[in-house]
Amino acid sequence: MKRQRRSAIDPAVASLVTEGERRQRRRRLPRAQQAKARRDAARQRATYDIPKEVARAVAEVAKEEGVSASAVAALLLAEGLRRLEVGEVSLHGLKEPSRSPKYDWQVPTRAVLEVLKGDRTLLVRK
Amino acid sequence: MITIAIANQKGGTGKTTTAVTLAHRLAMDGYRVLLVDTDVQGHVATALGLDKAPGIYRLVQWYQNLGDLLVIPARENLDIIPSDKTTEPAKRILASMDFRERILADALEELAEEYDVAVIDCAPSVDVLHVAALVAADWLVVPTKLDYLAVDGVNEVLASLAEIKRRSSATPDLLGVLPTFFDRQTNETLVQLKTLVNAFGRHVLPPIPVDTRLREAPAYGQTIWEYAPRSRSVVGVVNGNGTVVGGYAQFVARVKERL
Ligand SMILES: Nc1ncnc2c1ncn2[C@@H]1O[C@H](COP(=O)(O)OP(=O)(O)O)[C@@H](O)[C@H]1O
Ligand SMILES: [Mg+2]
Repeated sequence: MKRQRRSAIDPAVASLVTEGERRQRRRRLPRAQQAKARRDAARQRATYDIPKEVARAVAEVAKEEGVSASAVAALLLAEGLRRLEVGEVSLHGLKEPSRSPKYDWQVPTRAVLEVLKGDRTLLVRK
Repeated sequence: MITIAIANQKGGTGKTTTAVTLAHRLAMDGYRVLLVDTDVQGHVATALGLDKAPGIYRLVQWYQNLGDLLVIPARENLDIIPSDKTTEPAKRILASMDFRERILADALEELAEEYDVAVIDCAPSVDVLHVAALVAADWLVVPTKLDYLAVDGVNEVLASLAEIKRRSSATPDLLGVLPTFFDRQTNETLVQLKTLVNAFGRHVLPPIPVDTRLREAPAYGQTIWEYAPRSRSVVGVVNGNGTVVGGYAQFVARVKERL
């Protein structure tokens, strides 16, 4: 399929076709590589702009625990996301109005660092 | 009022399922919806837990000034013009009438104040009601299975659409080709999806996954929104990058963009 064609199609359909083609390519690989390709397909690299101190703290925990920094980030994010979903934590008190046209709110670096030090918290007081 | 026809000359492509599912969701979302069944099988009524009834027969009589339309309430905000086996003789009567192709357009015009959306479920045939449905429609949705006949089937509907556009002032547009019975485990599905995309480009809608829940729901007289609203055929399949693709929820969203 030609590329310019694909850009003109429904994005959801395009992603299905792309995924289907990847799946087909994977099936043609030797068995051992198939498993790895499947694992890789279930993961995604994401880039976040976070304070240096936080990145450094992730690296330290990773070293102490003997796991990858990605594993630490994934686990702590997963825990935080679950707590956010059930209302145990909230971003509410840390948001400030943003002047950027892209976002309604911003969270200043200072606030993140205060959370890291324990001076502030996302915990919702019951 | 906006009118959407669901058509494909091939049988068993998910037309009735799509018509009922779309109509009920729009009704649940607050649109006043009329669903018209033009198939002698009368499955629209049974899928909603109602009895088949001579709605099309009465429509043809109404067109001859011989009585009122038969419109039956099915759910909140959702009424139907049902069908049954009397649709067959009704079609024969209609075939001999002048302006027969305008029967649905005129009936819907009559009811235009009462509804926001009309959905017409077409029979798997090219008969007078099929033409009447396309003449009445603003939008056309073509559900299709992902088999080697898919492109042919869609082309047949589009050919009759082009023919009708040529002959009448009606201008229904293709809202989309809706792949149904989507099963991503099979190679054929992917091959046919790509073939459809090559043929119909941006008109190809995110597909409806194959789902036994869809087959079960009508047996209970329930729509999928009542029977299994979290099933795969509603929410779609999760793609490798975590996005959810296809399913009737996404289909309804695509339709709403045109309302
Ligand atoms: N995505 C699907 N997965 C599984 N079964 C389906 C699906 N769509 C429809 N069905 C079932 O297939 C049969 C034919 O569907 P139907 O909507 O009646 O097609 P048509 O109106 O085009 O003849 C019905 O029994 C229906 O419940
Ligand atoms: Mg049908």
